[in-house]
Order: sequence, then structure tokens, then C-alpha cells
Amino acid sequence: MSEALTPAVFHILLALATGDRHGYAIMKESLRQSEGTVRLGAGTLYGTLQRLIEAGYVAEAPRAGPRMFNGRQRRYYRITQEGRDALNGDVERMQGLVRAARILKAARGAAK
Amino acid sequence: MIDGAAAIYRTLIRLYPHGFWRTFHDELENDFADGSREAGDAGGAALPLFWARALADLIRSLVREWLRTPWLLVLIVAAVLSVTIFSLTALQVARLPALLSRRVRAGGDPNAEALKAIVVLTAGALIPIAAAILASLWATAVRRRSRSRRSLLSRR
Repeated sequence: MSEALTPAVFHILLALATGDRHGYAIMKESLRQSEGTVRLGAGTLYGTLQRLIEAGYVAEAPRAGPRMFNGRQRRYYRITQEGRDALNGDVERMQGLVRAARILKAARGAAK
Repeated sequence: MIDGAAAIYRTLIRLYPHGFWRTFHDELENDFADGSREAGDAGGAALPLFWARALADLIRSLVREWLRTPWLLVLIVAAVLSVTIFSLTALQVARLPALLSRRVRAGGDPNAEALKAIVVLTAGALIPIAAAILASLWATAVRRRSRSRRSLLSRR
């Protein structure tokens, strides 16, 4: 069974799974995909990104030209294959938990 | 007001460990500016709420990032070492006049006893200095190691 990712790591990897993003876009995407439950602060985000880069799950995206957002140059991040594997492993782990919970719920319903 | 808050935030993020600050300060400042602008546009309590959240995150992440560095351990060890050595030296110096007069009364040579006292005092002063030099050398070596680890995230 794969290791459980922390909510911050899970949402950062999930935000990057659909394309390269800069830090602010990762924060906004995490908030959107978690329906407002995961609000990553900048310090938490960049600390986690640094650890993900060190672990080889995320890399800085190479720039073809200046990448600007709101008039400022931004650093973009990209998920690596190891990051995708970790994300997929965690999704499968959670799916397994949901399946187990459904089976338990169905068994309780049948027993009533 | 937003500019003032941005200036305060810019100052506060300098409290992060230097490597973290050097790598991410531009992005932290940009994100704070963008977040402030968006919250300001939203109106109402959005802006103070954004600042309160930013401050709470700053405090949490400051603790987390400092705990990741060896510097916290270096500071604790240095503080414990300094207090211990200072206390021992102070104790030694405080006891010296009594020790000296007792030995002289017991028939010792006043000059020889004074010389011993000078030796003890000099050693008491030199030990903390030597300890501080050794601690600095160790801290420098630790810093070099952590710098080479941080090269994984080099600034462009």
C-alpha cells in the first residue's frame, strides 16, 4: 500500500497534475478543487514545494520565454513521473478506503 | 494601506531561514501583493481576513522552516554551552578571593598563590573564548552542508 500524502502535498500534486502552474495559481487551484477546505498559505506552499522538489516529485518547469502573471515574472512548477506515481498511489489508497467503507455500510444496512 | 502591509510582510519574511528566504522571497511578496489586491477588490472584511490568514501562515511556516534547519539545534546548544561556561567561570571568580586568603593564611607564598589565581582567571576567560571559536567553526561547517543541500533549488 502506498504512503498517505498530507493534504497539502496531495492538493499541490493534484493542482500540478493538469499542467504547469506558478505558486499563486497552485494556491487558487487547491482552494477550488477542495471546495474551499484546503487554503494553502504562501509559507506553507513554498515550504512544501521545496520538500517536493527535494523528493523529486516536483521540478521547476523550464521556461521558453518570460512567464508573467499580474505583471510579475513567475517561477512555474511541474509534476514529475515520481510525483504522478505518488499521487496515483494515494488516489488508489483512498479509493480502497472508500470501497471498504461502502462494503461495511452495505453490510450494516443488510443486517438491519 | 496595502503598500504598508506589503512592506511589513516583506520585513517579516526576512525571519525565515536565509536559504528559504533567498529562494522564495520574490514569490512570497508577489503572492501577498496579488492576494491583498484580490481581497481588497472583494471588499468588506476580506482584506483584514486575508492579512490575518497570511500572518497565521507566516508564523506556522516560520516555525516549520526553522525546525527543518540545523540552526535551531546550533542555537540551543550554543545557549546551553554559554550559560554553563559563564556560570562556572562566575562561580570560580567569586570563590577566588576566599580561596586565595585561605591558602595565604595556611602559610602559602602570597606571590605563588596570586600567580595561581591569575592562571585560574585566565583559563576561566580563555575557555569560553575557545568554546565560542569551536562553536563558530562547527556552525560554519553545518551551514556549508545545508547550503550544498539547498543547491537542489538554485535561484536563476
